[in-house]
Formats: sequence, structure tokens, C-alpha cells
Amino acid sequence: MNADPASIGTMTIAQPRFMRTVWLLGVSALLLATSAPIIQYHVRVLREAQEALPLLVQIPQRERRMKLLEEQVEVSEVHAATRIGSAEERLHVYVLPEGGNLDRLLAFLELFGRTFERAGILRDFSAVELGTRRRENAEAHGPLEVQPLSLRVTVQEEGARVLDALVSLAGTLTLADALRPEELALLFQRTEAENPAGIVALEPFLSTDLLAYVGESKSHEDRILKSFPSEESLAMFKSILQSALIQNARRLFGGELGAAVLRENLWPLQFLAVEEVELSELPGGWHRLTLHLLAYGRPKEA
Amino acid sequence: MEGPVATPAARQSPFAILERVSAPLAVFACVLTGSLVLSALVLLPRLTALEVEGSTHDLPSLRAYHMELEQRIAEAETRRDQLILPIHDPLYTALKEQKRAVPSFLTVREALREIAGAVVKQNDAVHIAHMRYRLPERRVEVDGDIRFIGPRSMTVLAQFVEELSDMPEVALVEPPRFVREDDPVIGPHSPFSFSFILR
Repeated sequence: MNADPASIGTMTIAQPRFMRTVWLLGVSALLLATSAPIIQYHVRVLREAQEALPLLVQIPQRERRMKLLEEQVEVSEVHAATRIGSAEERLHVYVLPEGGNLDRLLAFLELFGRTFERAGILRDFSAVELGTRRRENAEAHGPLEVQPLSLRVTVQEEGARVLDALVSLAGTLTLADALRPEELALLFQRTEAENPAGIVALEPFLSTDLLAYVGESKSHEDRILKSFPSEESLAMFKSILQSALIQNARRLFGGELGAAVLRENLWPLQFLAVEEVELSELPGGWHRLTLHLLAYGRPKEA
Repeated sequence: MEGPVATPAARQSPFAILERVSAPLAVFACVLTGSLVLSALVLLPRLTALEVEGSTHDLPSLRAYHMELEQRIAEAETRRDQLILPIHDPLYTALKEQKRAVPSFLTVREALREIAGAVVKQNDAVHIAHMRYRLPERRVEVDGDIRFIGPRSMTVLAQFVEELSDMPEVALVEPPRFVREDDPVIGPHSPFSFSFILR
């Protein structure tokens, strides 16, 4: 029996149409599947561009600062070559001395006691008692020697303040040592903002011996302010130079004691720290103070 | 006369629907993918080019450059400090930091006086007779008494201890015993003896 010619024709036409439809749908699906990761790529790139915007602002600022710092380092290197004397030498001889000799420290304490007894703000300054010297090994910084010592004294309120000043200052050598890290950072920022080349004026200022500064504050301040004449610099220096340690230095060495210490070559002081304090109230505004201190030094090299 | 010829409704098979949409769908997919590829290759690079000082970077290299700059700045600051600051001895620096990290005995005593003044206006109502301060452990021992305020002495003592505990610098207070005694000279008073530890 023969097939219906019409149905044969329908089948013949239908097959290519079927294949075409399938092919078109397949290609569409493939292309749409391909476009998904491309859309994801767009999202990622746009997000990266957004994240990079703050960097685009910061980088030029950092580059300018980098350039400024490199100039300051260059200028400072030239200046350093002409520098004479070293605070570090005095540090090793007097502040962290080798060998445990306490003569200078004990002489200073005696002078201190006499001076402020005459001023009427302390009395009954006892003899200094020495404990057993010990050696400690600071992991990062090598061995050090610690000498415990104790003293007892009866003080008025101002006497307690000068003793507090003494302990805080014992071991401080220069103006830089009397300033906190954040105060030093402020000074450096000021040089960058106002006068980068003024960094070379900052070096002798920070290296100024603290006792010398107390004796002639105005001349040291006037010298540095020549390099930083703006109102902001003046305000900043005034504020920094009112820091606690510098105030303590003025309280302790601004009078008779400062001159005596220079005369008897008892400056700088050996590094002292407080281990324990006892304070008892007495009648008439007096206090009995017992101080247990630690004097630091380095072991004598064999 | 015959009525209008009713056209039989075309039967829409699913294949017929697909056949109709396949070509437009293919055109759409082509156009979409082609546009996206063109955008990725030509448009995006132009619009999102990260240019710094005349050179183009992508985000990872920009971040790396930023980090490198920060490192160079830190090195330059260190070098500048070495040239300008007079002393760099690490032992000395460590000892100074250790000393500064702990408040002085006067600072601690002033803080106690301030708290006393805030708790009660009466002068010397919070009488601190003895203070012992061990700096390595940051431990403070305080002996004294609350006086001159009559039967409120224990309340004031409790307030004093509470104010002290609330100070951010104080890590721990070992509270005192709360007692009230009668003294022939100063009258009712609350002696105390307690210690606290600083952060």
C-alpha cells in the first residue's frame, strides 16, 4: 500500500524545521549561558573600581609625603655628618652605667635632701639602704643590673611633689627623652606641614640637655621658633613644652638644686624606677614617705 | 445561502510555540552576548581604568603599590628619627616606656582624693591615713576611715568604693568590710582597709 504523498511531504518539510528549531534553541541557550559569567565579570570590575576610589585619593597624598620624607632624610643625613658629641655616650656613662658604682646617685640624694630640708618641705631624710643587687636578662635588650635601694623621709605636700619629680626625671637626659612619643610625632608633623627643611633645626633642639633647657628655656625656644614662626607652631610648642616631665624638671632643677647639681657634676642622674611607695598621714600636713627604688645599670663587661 | 465559512482553529502544539520563539530568542541571545562581550573588551577597560601618575593599574596592583608606599614611608620615618632623635638605645627606650606605663604614686593619690571629693563635700570626710602602692603588680592598698558625717559613714564608704570600681583605670577592687564604730574624739566613723588593682 503506498504512503499518503501529503503526509510524506509534511514529514519531509517538518524534519528540517525541527532541526532548525532545535539548533536555534540550542544556540540561544549556549549564548545565554555564556552571558552569565560575563555579567558577573562586569559586576566584579565595577565593584573593584568602586573599592579603588579611596586608594586613588590616598596614593597621591602618600606619594607627596614620601617625597617630603625623602627630602628630610637627605637634609638630615648631611647635617648628621657635621654633628659632634653624643648623648648616647653620656647615657652609657651616667644613666645606665656599668659596674654598679652608686657614688654619684648617693651624692645626688644627699644634695637633694639637704636642699629641700633647707626649703622646709622635707625633714628626717633617712640614710639610703641598699638591697641586694641582681642581674636581669631583658630578652630583647640584653642583660641589665638592678640595685634596690630604700629611703624614708617626712614631707610636706610640695616635698612629695619634688620626690615624685625626682623619680620621674631620674634617667632623663635630653628634651627628646622628656617628651612622649605622641608629642614627638606632633613635632615631626609640624615640620612636614610648615617647613620640611626645618627638620635640621629640630635636631639640636631635641638633643638639648634637659638641665640646660631648664636653665635657659627662652633662648632654646626662641631658636627653634625661628624655623617655625607660624601661630600654630607657637601654640604647639608652648603646649608640648608644658608636658609633665618638663614641668617636673622646672620644679626640681629650676632653683638652687639645679645650680648645685651642675656645680658638683651630678647630672645626668642614673635611671631610677619606683618599686613600692608607702605614704602615711601625719599631723600638721606632713606625710611619712617610704620609697623603694630600683637603680638600673649594665653589668661590667669582662 | 451558506453562512460564513467557519475557519477551523489552528492547533498550537508546544513545538509550534517553540518554533515561533526560537528565532527571536536566538537573535536576542546573540545581541545580548555580543553587547556584553563588546562592553567587557572595549567599554569597561576605558571606564574603569585606574590611572595613577600616568600609568594604568588594576586593583590588585594598586593595592600592592599602596602597601609599598606605606612601607617606604615607615622606613623613611624610622631613618629620619634615627638621624634627628639623639638616643636610640633599645634598653633605655624599653625602660622609659616601662616607667611611663605605670601611674605615679601622686597620680594615684590625686585620683583617690578626687573621688572622695565627688562622693562627699565634707572636707576630710574620706580620710586616707595610709597608702601602699606596689608598682610592678599595680596594686594599691588603702587604709583610713570615713568620719565627720555621722551615721552615713557606711553609705559614703560604699559610694567611695563604687566610684573607685567605676574608674576605667581600675581593674579590680577588693572591697572592705563595712562597719561603723564610735570614737570618743571623732565620733561615729567607718574604718576601712582595702586594696585595688590598676589596669
